[in-house]
Amino acid sequence: MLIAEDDDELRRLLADTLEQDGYTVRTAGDGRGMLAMLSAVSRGELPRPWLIVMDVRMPACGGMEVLSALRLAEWDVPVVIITAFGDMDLHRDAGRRGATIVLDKPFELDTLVCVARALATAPMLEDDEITNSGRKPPFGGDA
Amino acid sequence: MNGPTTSPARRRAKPSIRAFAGDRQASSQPLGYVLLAEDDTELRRLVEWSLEEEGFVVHSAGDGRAMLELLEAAARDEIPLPDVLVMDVRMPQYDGLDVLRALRLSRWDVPVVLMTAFPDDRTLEAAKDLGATCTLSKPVDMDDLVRAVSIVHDLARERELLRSRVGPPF
Repeated sequence: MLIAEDDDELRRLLADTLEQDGYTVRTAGDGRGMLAMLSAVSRGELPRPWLIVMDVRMPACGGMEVLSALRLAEWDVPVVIITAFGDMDLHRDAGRRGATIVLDKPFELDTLVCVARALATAPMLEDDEITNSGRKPPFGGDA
Repeated sequence: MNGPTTSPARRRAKPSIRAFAGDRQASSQPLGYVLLAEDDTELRRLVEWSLEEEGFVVHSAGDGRAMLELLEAAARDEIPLPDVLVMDVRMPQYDGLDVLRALRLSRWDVPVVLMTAFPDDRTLEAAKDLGATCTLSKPVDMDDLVRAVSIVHDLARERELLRSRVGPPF
């Protein structure tokens, strides 16, 4: 997933939290950096992101502008907008531009993890993993 | 899941978030179907009531075995397929993690919200590995629970839409 946040400390915290939950994260310090990463994706130099997290207010180019650019390019990757200025107008604007969800700062990092997990594919198990876990499965694979 | 950012006390949904995937228009259609397993009768009723107030239809069970029976009934189309599962971790018969493990073994990726009064690292790690979307620590604030279920429900719809368009995220 890709993250753009201009606050160095928060950016590191977001990246660390999501990496700790098992995701591969690349970060940018502003919207221009995010656009550069997206260009790299379209050139095939970076893997296609399955989630993008962006701050609204950033130098060079804000998250909302990048979001609009993404949707204009018909990229339907889920986008999480984070903002310290989350009034109703901003929420509505983000929704119109195609944001998946808006998180108002300060938000708990677990909320972002919850959002990422809700959008990711659940890990499926095979029979041998169940056996190895040492617990008897309540029912087989036919439910 | 160590460190201050993921300590049990912080594993709560936050109120100030808004998802756009869900259709919140007034409608006679239920918002979604929830299966609930909780052995504490009072808490079960409170969760049922809170989710029903929000517009969800809730079928509930008093332990893990009864939850598995509900899931089997859903698989047989006797009750609607659930959009979200809400489960206590510690329950008689099979616990919430057993049910979650059974779901993943059955390749059923319905989102699961867990509740636990014992949010130790081992439980949280197991929940994560089995793909629980979030684990709320008891005592659970009902507003937080309803928000968590609503967001998970909305985002799951978004996830399905995405898959139908571009395939699963890698």
